[in-house]
Amino acid sequence: MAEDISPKGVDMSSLLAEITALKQEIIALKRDNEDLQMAMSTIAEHGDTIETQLYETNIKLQTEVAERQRAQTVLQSLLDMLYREKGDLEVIVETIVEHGDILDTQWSQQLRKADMLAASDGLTQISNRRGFDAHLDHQWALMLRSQEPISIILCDVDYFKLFNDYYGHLAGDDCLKSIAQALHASLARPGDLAARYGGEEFAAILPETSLNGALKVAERIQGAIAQLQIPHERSLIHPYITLSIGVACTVPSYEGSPSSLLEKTDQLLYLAKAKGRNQIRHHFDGE
Amino acid sequence: MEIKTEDYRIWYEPDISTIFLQGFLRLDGMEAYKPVMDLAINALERSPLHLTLNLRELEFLNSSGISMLSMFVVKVRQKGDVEMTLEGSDKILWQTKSLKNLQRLMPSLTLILS
Repeated sequence: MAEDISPKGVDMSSLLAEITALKQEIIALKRDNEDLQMAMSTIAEHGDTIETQLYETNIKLQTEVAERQRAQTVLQSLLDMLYREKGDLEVIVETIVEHGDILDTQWSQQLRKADMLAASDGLTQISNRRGFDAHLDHQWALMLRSQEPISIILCDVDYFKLFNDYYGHLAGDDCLKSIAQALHASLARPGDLAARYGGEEFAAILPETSLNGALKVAERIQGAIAQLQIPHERSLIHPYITLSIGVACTVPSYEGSPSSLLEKTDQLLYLAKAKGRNQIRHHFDGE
Repeated sequence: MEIKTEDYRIWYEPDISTIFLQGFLRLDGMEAYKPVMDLAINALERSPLHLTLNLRELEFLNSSGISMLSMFVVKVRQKGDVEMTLEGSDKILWQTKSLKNLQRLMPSLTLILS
């Protein structure tokens, strides 16, 4: 049997086998290639999808950032406004509080002024009876505690009714004003008080003052009135205005009272008038 | 534009762009001050450049009144284009203190106490 040998002596059967193997390999490679292409297109498509998604997300994020920045600006301006309003309100509250305090002061000053007006005599500008009583009560209490003497001087303008009838009420008023000023000027110490006690009656409170001290003051008052030389044609005792004066002194005790001292002084004034006027009558009520 | 009672008088003089407040102003609460505030705002709108508040004869102003005045000063400041002068008296105690505080609300405010 003849062998299947090519003209050049090539083994054909092994060649065929090799070709078959190569064909199979090509088929396998083609399959691999198709698979790879499939994978590549899948990956590319996937990449595109992801890229689109990323792009969209990015756009969304940028919008969100812009919105947040806008919101932040709005909030910041709102915060600034609130901060300004808070500052304003703090100043307003402070203003109102301080205003309230200053109004208190203003009221109390007016109250003090009104109190002083209520305690002073409109004509003579020295204390009136109300001011006199209040000061006497106050000083009595102080002297009661310190056990020091307190003196009262009561003065009455001699024949004042005749003066008024003769010179007229306006001259009478001027006369009272001059006497008040002279009385006021005759008192030296801070606790002393001059007052118009009634129509033509004047008074002085002298705390921490003995009878001797009070007598000196009474003489000073008498001298000051004499120096005024207010003519009094109708006076039955003197060509000028004169005063009858009562002076009483005591060291306050719980048994005594301001009114009892006042009553005593009034009696002395009455005595001075009864004994001929233009004189000083005095008494020390104590041991 | 005028509000007048026995106790106080408030009016606006357009010729001199001035609001006058006089007397004793003691209205009961912020609500009661609304007519006064309305008068002031109306005057502010009619005073394009400068507005003067004359308080020289305002003897008394209660706390509701000073708070109304404070708020008005804030409104003028917020408006931004109107200069304001406060004229007061150095003889009225509350004015010497409270008007200076209003200047804190509007630093450009001119205060004349005389």
